[in-house]
Amino acid sequence: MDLEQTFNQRIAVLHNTNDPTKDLRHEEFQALAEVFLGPAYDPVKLRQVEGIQVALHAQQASLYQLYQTRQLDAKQYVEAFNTLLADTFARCEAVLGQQDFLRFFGAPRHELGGFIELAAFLDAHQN
Amino acid sequence: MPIGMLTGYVLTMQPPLAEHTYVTSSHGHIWPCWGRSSKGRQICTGSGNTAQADCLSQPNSHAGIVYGVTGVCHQTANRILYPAGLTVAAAVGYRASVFAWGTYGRDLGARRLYSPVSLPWPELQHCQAQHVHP
Repeated sequence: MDLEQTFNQRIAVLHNTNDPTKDLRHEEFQALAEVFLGPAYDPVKLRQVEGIQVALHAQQASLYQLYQTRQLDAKQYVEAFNTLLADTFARCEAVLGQQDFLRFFGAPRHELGGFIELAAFLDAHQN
Repeated sequence: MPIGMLTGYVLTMQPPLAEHTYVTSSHGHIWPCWGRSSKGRQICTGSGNTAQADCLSQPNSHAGIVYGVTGVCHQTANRILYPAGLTVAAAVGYRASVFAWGTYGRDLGARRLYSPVSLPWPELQHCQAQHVHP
């Protein structure tokens, strides 16, 4: 079984369990880390990367609030979010190093840009 | 019960964009998931209830994902593939997408990841209420 299949199985188990004591974001993060970096990976680095993820989620929520209250237009939101994501991956790479970043995310950082496409976003939010 | 094959595809985008994903069924459905939906490379396939997948894809093959907010094409495809128990995990950029939005999308208001059991998204609840089971 390859690592992606192992990861899929872990995710399937997580999403078929209803345990209100568990934080699913943390559980998915743990699955990513354990499958692709190994169960004995440096816990200090993992806590740092998980902290970066939590910050990303909070900052995205703030950006979306600015968009909803029209303090950002669609183009500004997309640019700000893609910049936020690029900064997030740069910070993750600084913690993990290039090699482990590749193992964790499955692609080098330069292939992970522009996640939100402006045209699709405009199409989705035209109303 | 219309059991058929559900298949996930990837399309390589111009760098630095992550791979786009879309889904088709053996019963003729094509769900573009916010982008192009032809000439892709197959990355997963499995049997599932294609009527439920079609129900889950509504409206407009967006599957309830708010693009760029609660997820992107990867979370959309995963929701449609749910009846077959598949995900588009083999797409380049998928893990980064999961890092940002989780497997089935993220509810910004509740600050939680959607999940079929613990936090089902509204479209899944609707389709289950319509008795379109896998």
